[in-house]
Amino acid sequence: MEHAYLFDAIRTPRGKGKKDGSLHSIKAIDLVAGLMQALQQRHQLDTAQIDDVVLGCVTPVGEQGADIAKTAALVAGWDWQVAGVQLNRFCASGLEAVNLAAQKVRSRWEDLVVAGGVESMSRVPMGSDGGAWANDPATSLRTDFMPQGIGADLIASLDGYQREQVDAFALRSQHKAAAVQAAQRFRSIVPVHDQNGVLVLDHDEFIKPLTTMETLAGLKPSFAQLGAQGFDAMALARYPQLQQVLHVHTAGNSSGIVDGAALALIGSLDAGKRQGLQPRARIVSVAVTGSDPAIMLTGPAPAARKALQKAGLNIRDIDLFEVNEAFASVVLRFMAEMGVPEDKVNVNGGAIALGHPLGATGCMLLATLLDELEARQLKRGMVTLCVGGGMGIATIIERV
Amino acid sequence: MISITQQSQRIVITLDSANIQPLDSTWQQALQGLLQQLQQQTAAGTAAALVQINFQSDKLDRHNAQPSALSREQAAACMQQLADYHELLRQLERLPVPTVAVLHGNIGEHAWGLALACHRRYSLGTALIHPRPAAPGLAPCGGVLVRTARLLGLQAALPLLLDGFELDSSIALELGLLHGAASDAPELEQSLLRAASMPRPPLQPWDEKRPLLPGGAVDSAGNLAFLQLAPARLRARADGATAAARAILCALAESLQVDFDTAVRIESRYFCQSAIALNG
Repeated sequence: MEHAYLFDAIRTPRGKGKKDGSLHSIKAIDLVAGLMQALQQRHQLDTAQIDDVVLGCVTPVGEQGADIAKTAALVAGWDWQVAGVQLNRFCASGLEAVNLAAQKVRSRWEDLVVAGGVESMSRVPMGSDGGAWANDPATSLRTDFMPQGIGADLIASLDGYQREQVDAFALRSQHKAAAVQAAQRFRSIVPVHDQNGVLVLDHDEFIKPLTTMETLAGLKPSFAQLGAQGFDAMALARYPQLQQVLHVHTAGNSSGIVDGAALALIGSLDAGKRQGLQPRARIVSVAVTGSDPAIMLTGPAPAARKALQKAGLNIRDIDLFEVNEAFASVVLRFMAEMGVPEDKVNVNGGAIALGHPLGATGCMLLATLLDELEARQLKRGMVTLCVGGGMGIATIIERV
Repeated sequence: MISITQQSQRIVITLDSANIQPLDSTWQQALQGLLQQLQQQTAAGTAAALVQINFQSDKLDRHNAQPSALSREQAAACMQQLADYHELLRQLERLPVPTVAVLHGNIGEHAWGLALACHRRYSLGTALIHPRPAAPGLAPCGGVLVRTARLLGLQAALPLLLDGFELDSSIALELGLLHGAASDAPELEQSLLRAASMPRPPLQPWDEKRPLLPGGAVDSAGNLAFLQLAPARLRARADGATAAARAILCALAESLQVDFDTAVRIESRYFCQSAIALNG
């Protein structure tokens, strides 16, 4: 059996996902092509040896459509022998791309794969791709669709997380991210330049270092109105043990809308040797699972258990975790359910502070995790995300 | 360079078109001073109802115009200069009273760019507008491409920007780039009186709440089909797909997909790209 090694993981900075965001003027394809060129230059890669590019992108329409993976490889000037495919597993897409690349290498049917994701949420808004689940009444009625935010508030209601608790978690995310940024420790960042070499963005610009408990407390609950319009009744019918849904999530303790891209270079040891690459980690196991689609966001723990079981490991064998902060309650639930202390989780802050560029996040978290394992000389880490539709995904890596 | 007088409710400015140069710091300083004065003279409570800007004819020497190449190291400074100039034109567009450009004789690209930032444009007698850079090899800058595109739409703007046909008043009026063509001063005066009664605050089309793009949105079926063919058509031209032509096409397509201010940033990038390409 072949092992899949992680040779490198890089990312763009995250730009604010609005028209005043620094990356709003940069097309998604240029975000990816820029990273591809950087990856090639960092390692003097012979791109003809790369079998495939697998890219997550959750809204693959308009300028993010038409298999952006293959198109970006062409724009980046990579050898035309490199194939490319775009995939969509909602928020998990970037990590799914990594996992698929690992599986390709372990199968021995491919040797060297670039995986990652891209999302320009300021240019191609979330939901632009339509889809039956939320937009077709027959589908929605049959599947009891509820928006994610209701799911997050449901978790808080079931587990008893009060507003102050989720806000305090969000504040810690901001403080951690701000500290790391000030110390310039996000080593996987590759600055974005325009076509003339002029710097566009070199840092995550969504972080709000001046956040306080007071500023967070002043934010209105984001999903109370939605709940009042019918989704609360659906939620309570599904979870009759609850008297009410506590609407504790706001813009301040939920993930931010941003632009960004990330890439990881994954391959066999031999493929790496041929390119003169040193592996930084091994992808030990990957897992994906379905979870309750109504509450939608409880997938990380079952996915984590599955990945641990596949690897023959125990939760205590994991030194650091990146658990996507889609909403504060998601991470609080994971830590409680898995018995993981917070000082091992999102030690550099998470998506509440940094933002969640949907298709890219999973690979961004992998890059951040790898950097931190190396910085602390620790051995194993796990990335996990909750996923729309009710899924969870997890990946375990081990430094070599 | 600039003269300014106030005649009752009208502020009259005369500009020497030859001095209008977005990348010249002397011109930018002069324009900034003018705008500061205009902001004071048109503030609430003042009598001003109209700003009339007369563009003096430019002795265009197009055949000897030399393109200015840019190095990659100079690009950042150039982008900043163009961003500063854009901010000045936006100040002009946001004045609380209508601004009217009066065009006569030869009007070069940069004077035309300033005229496009006025709320109304009229020719007086013969006016010959040169909408593209005098120097071959450069894409437009200073908002010319973006404003032209938003006035004409994608398919109408492209040939004008690529080929830079000189426009006389009647053609410019027909295209929608002018609001009127006056043959004499009394006719112009009637147009100015109408302009003075524009609703307040006067808005450029791109500052409307839901601006409509002539010819349809960029992602309409007709425009998408046009964009798919455009690069091939460019390559088939007699001069091929030159660096400037590519820059113009790309800037046009990309600028129409974003908000106005982002669009001008994109235009500036492609201008720099074309100027860098002159280095070979």
